[in-house]
Amino acid sequence: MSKTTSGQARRHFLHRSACWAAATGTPLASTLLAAGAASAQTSGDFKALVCINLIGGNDQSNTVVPVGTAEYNAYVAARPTLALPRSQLLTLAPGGYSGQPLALHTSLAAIKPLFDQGRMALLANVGPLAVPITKAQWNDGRPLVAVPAQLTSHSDQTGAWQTGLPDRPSETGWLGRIGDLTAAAYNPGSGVSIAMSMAGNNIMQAGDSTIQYQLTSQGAVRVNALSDLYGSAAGATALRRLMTDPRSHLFENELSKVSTRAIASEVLVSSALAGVTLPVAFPVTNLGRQLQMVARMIAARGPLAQRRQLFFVQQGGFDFHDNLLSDQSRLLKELGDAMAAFQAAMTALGTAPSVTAFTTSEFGRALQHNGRGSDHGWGGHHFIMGGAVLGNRVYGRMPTVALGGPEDAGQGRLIPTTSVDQYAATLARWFGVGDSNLATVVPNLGRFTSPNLGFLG
Amino acid sequence: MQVVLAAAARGKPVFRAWHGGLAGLLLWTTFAAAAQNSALRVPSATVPPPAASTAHSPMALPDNGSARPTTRSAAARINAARLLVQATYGPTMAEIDRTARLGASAWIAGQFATAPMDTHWDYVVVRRGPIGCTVCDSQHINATMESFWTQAVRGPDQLRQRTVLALSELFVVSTVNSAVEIQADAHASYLDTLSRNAFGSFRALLEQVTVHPTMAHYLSHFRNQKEDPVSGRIPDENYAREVMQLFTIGLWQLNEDGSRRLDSNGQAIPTFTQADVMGLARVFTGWGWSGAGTGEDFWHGWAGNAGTWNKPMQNYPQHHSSSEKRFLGAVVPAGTGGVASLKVAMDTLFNHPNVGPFIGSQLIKRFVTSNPSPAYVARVARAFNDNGAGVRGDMKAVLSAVLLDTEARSTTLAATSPTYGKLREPLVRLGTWLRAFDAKSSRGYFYDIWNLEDPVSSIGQNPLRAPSVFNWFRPNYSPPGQIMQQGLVAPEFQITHETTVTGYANFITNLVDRGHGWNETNLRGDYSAELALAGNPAALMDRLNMLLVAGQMSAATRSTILTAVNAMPASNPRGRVLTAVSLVMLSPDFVVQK
Repeated sequence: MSKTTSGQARRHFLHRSACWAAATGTPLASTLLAAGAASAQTSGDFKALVCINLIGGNDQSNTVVPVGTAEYNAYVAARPTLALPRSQLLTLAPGGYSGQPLALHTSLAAIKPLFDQGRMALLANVGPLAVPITKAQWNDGRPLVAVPAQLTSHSDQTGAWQTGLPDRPSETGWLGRIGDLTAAAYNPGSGVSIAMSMAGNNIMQAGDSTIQYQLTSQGAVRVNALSDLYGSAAGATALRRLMTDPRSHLFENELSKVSTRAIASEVLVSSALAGVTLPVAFPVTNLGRQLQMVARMIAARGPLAQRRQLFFVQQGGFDFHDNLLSDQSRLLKELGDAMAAFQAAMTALGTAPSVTAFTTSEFGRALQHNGRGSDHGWGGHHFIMGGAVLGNRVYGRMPTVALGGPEDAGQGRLIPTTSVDQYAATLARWFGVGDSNLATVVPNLGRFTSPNLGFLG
Repeated sequence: MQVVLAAAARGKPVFRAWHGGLAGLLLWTTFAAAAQNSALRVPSATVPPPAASTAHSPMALPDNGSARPTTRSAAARINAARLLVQATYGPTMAEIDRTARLGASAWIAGQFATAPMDTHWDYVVVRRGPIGCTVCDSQHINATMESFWTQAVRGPDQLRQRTVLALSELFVVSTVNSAVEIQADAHASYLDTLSRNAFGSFRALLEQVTVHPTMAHYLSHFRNQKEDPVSGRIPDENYAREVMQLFTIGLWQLNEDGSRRLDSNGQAIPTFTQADVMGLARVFTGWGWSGAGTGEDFWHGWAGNAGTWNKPMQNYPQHHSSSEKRFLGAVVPAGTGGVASLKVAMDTLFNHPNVGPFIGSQLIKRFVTSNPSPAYVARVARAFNDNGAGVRGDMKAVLSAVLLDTEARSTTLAATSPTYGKLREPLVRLGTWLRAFDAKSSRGYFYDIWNLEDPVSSIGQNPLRAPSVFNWFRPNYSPPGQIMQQGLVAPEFQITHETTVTGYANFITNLVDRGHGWNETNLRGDYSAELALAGNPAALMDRLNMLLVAGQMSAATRSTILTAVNAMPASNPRGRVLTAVSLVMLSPDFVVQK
């Protein structure tokens, strides 16, 4: 059925590697380590990627606003009911940038200093693309080249972003494929998956061999009755068998696998987290708690025997069809405050150069207003944060914020000028995936000119 | 470089072929042939009870140990219990016996004729408590949750209750990230609307949902205004998109059997474009509170009409788009009013050939199995298209087709296919315990079940609190791994992961022992029938097997649990019962309904 060709190629690669390793007596881990050795080994050679997914499609036009007079006026004209007052915006001074002056939404005040200090970068107008496409090729919605299927559908564009394969079915996502290429080399002997989610199941962390592990903002949870069910050890034994014995029914067996993983990982994670305290307070918000647990798992990397970690957290509520002004103000403040706390924690732990956090969202939104909000778009702006980030810079190309501009697919929905593939490849390369394996992470990468956007050293 | 055209993407069929073993396939062929000969589209009362046709299968016989009744009645009771697992919040022994006597189609016909015990509006707004309440202090959104559970557990109209659950997961409104986060009356009225229309016409259901102020707040077409060339305002597209993508036709053109239609290049064909969304969005302009007038005072709710959650919205002509509206091939001429435009939109959506397979397959997944065969989907789609009397969208015919199909009723299929069935969703697992053990508190049947959403301490699912309009789980969700590799879906696995399986285990071991809630609203299970069998663990297991697992417990599970029950001293009958009930509810045999 629908295994991707990339999936097959990936398995072949792993298969070949394993055979070769067996033949030469070289451990597979070392082989893969060599393959991934393009990256610098710093900070005890520990690295983590933290994906912060904004569910619903963040409105990019009010997140980063052009503040030159002409550009600001065009922005206001396109969305008079939604435009933010210029006086409230936080003006940026990006290095090496000669485009229109830009400013951040005031709710991002907590991360503005990180941008200024060079620990945060902006990636402008990025989104899923099947191939590069111009406005002429977009052809007013009857595209002359391939485009991702079902643009502006929440579920499909979430899939497009997270699988990195917007033009075909995929059973894996790009963080999962990064995990496939790095887990054995960097985390040998760790009993806990390299891919950890604080926000439920997602396709992004699914790999061929990488199986995501869910934990909560409170850590790993224990099955209380595993040693004593109503006072009975025999009851507890039966419970363990019912939860973990292999089964012949496919769904029952999948349940059993999940429970087996839950029970085994909990012991390791709870033990590793014992005694971990963070010197930084996090905001008591859903995202704040998730990022706090990410920070704790990073602090516990030693006992977890993990030199590579891939985290996934989410913040909901970005589908701003109405109440955009109030809702986005609230959500961006939660986002910015949680990110700032996370960066402070990384600095305090001494892991800032080793940890890169980045945002994703299924789509940007139309520039044109509907009176109270904005509707589903395509390209959007995203942030990359961490000590390794070459920050205070704008990557990609800032679009013209005006109806009818050169990136306008209609109503100010942006035709992306940078693809998710490039975004993912830049992160993967920094994480330790060798150049020759980037196409395994994002198989369509070759369709785009630059595989390295340069925002990481 | 190979460029794949957009339409090629996600070309895998929405619904998979049935993946049974060889034996299952042979049986399936037999049953499919039988199904084609049976009049499944005819209203259920005239359909011969499938129970009679499957009762002869020797594979349907359970391991009933010493308490084995006669084989024929055992088979009939298993058939009855399976139907009740699929179509209710859980069997009771009395209902199993009654249903075994009636047969499936008579039971369903009886359910169609059974009225709800109450309305949510009366519970939440009028009385602020259950029928006959003396302490009537229910308030906030909690009141709606109480009313939900009261009807779910106590309602004699169990099929309606499960249909409401299914519809609430299709036409999703939620208190999460929502303009209706706290309005108990809004959600009470919405649930009543689903309940009233559950056995009626899908056309009426669709329109009632569309003009319900709660849905309109949730998907933001409430007070959505027409386009304004001066400010550049365009209508909000939210409802226009989701009513197509999620509520009626889906994203891809479908064959009757739910597979995707392909164009001459072998590419799947989208059902709509962005232009269709924008055209349809104009229909959903000018809708606001019901009121005695349509002036601005009524539009804004200043005329005292704000909050009329139990009345369909009305259209305000001054805010309705008078432009031409084009969508899905329909053209509504310029100048057409809101009500007339809505009728064209509803008729166009309702008559789209996708609705039968799109909605029918989702109902199959909510009641019976995650991976119906294409032929099963086609049979349900045909029932949607024509109830046998030339009527389209008759929900009774659709539900009958879902539940009376041989693929639903065959105990052989259930016993032999390694991919048949579905995860019981957490809400139904809890409902099953509440009903099976007649749980009540010192306040009686008062369901103080306010929030079950925490995946650590509870079950990770709550009525009316889905994270988005995409529900707790999408109908085509497939967990990475073996299930996905086989091309199958398992929607409920979207909320099944390390945290929720652990949370569920802890929730159940606590629930079975101490019940749910505290103090005077602590719901406790009544285990008197089970305690009477504590001295005979095999008989206890037979009872729980029938009551909770529809007689389908595997020999290995039974043996594992029996060992634990026997290890509990006979002098501790309650310990034996708690052990048995907990372990059954934590067994994969229970969690995966077959």
